[in-house]
Amino acid sequence: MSRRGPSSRRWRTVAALSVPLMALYLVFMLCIAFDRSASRILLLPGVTLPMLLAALLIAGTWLTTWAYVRWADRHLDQRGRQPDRQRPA
Amino acid sequence: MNTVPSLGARNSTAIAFFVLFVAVTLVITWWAARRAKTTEEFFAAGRRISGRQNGFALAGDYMSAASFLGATGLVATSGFDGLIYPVAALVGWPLLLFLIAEPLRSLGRYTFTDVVSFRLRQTPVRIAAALGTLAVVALYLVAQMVGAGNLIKLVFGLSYESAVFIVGTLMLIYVLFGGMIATTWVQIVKAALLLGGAVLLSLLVLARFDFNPSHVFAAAADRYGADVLAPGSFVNSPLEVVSVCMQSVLGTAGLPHVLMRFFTVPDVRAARTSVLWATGLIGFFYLLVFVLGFGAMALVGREAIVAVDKGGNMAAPLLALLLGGTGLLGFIGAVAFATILAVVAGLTLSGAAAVSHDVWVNVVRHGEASREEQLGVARVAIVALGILAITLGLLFKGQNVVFLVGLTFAVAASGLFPALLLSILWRNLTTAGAVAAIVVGTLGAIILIALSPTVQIDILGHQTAAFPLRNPGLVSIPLGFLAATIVSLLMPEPAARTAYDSERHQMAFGA
Repeated sequence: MSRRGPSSRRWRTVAALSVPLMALYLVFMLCIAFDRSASRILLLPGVTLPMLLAALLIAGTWLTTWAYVRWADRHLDQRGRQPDRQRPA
Repeated sequence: MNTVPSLGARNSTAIAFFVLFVAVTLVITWWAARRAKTTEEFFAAGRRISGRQNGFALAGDYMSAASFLGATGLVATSGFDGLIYPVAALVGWPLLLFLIAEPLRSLGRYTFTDVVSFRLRQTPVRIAAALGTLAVVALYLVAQMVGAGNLIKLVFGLSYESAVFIVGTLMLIYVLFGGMIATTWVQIVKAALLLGGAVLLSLLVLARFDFNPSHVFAAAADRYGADVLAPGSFVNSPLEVVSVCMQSVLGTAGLPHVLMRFFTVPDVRAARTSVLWATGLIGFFYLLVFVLGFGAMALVGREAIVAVDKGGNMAAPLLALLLGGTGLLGFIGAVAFATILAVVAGLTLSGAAAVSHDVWVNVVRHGEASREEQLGVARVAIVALGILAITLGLLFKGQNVVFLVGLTFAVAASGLFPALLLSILWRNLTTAGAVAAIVVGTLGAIILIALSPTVQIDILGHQTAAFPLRNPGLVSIPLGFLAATIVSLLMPEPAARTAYDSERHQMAFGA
């Protein structure tokens, strides 16, 4: 395994997973910060766009975490179960 | 609505449930005390906590009484605005996982300061980080103690002072004797109780609305107008929204008692699993808060909630009283009490670890201290923090301390997070840069809060405030990063860079 291999693969995965979540987060933030009229339209009785976005953001956060953990458990730390390396106190 | 008289009266169900919780947690503490004889056991639970258990404990640390009572109350009284803060904060968890959790687990021993200082000069970094940790711990302790006093007065009918003493004393017993093992298991029990209580209450709400959440929201909108489902007064300042979002996301990744939990699992893989569980549990909990908050708004009504407590904190207990009588009120009250207790215990332990492990062992003793000495210093620090918590709790009686929770996150995000992140990602970070980040970020957040409308107008009664935002994160977080960058570039430290390169492989993906 090359010295930089796992690290750059890890950053690529992190970036690929972060972009959709951050985009959704940005939409959520901009929607509540700036868009007053659109955020009042009812999508369903009792559900507005910001509420839907909030629920999607919760689901998206969990999915992103799940996808990363699944990827990392398969591709990283072949040495992952190794016991602690003692650090200087 | 005739619910108000039942609050503030002595509630024997609440006391019975709470006594049961205390009995269970004392048994846990007794069991833990027999094992917590080494520093590894005392500070890191012997690294035997599984990923799922740690996920519950992390979620428990995060779901403080502030998020259960506070967020439900905020939704019940101001509608959608109450959801912004918790939902925004949740995004901090994948960030914590991507940037911090793995290097933290593979490089650190007991405190996040281990990671910040590992390639820098120990003494200055550890002192600065320990002071930053203690600032966060003290601020959060005050907020929790005052919250505990008020809550217990209303739900249990005990006096404010006795509530503060009960929380302080029980916390001391858990932490002093059971260390991280007891603190973790108390937190796990509480997280399960809190989720169970929230699920039960949500089901009772949903039962009145054909088990359709959108009917709950619609009923709230029918009663108070459709505007409650959309962003309201918050929107007046878009910068405030961005600031709150920034400081709650980054603050999550800088809370010492949350970071400390990553040292209790056996390996990096378990650290990852624990974030997955924590994110799932917290996300699920916040979805329940949608139902509970709007349910309380529709069923209890804003007027009745505000009549009991101006901040709306009694929304969940009032909802329990309405749907399940004093029995359910007692259960929810006991859960909220347990919540405060468990969070206070975690905070105190992380403060004690900063004093004992960071300052005493690594600065005063240069890494040479016996086990007895390390644990002795930790116990002295725990008692001191316990006394401090009780004293401050009594001192701040009747004060508006809601802003302290925001300040805690602001200090964690501005003072601790930049130093931690840069120590992991940036090879050019220097000792002076890390210290500058902690000092400038922490002081920046505190000074900006002191100049904010929250303190200047709401508390001191002045006409204007020098700083326009109530949440300083937007300014103080960049200040922390800026201080680290400028000072590091002005005063390079080649030894730190060399040490970074040799640890880089291990840091990048953990092993």
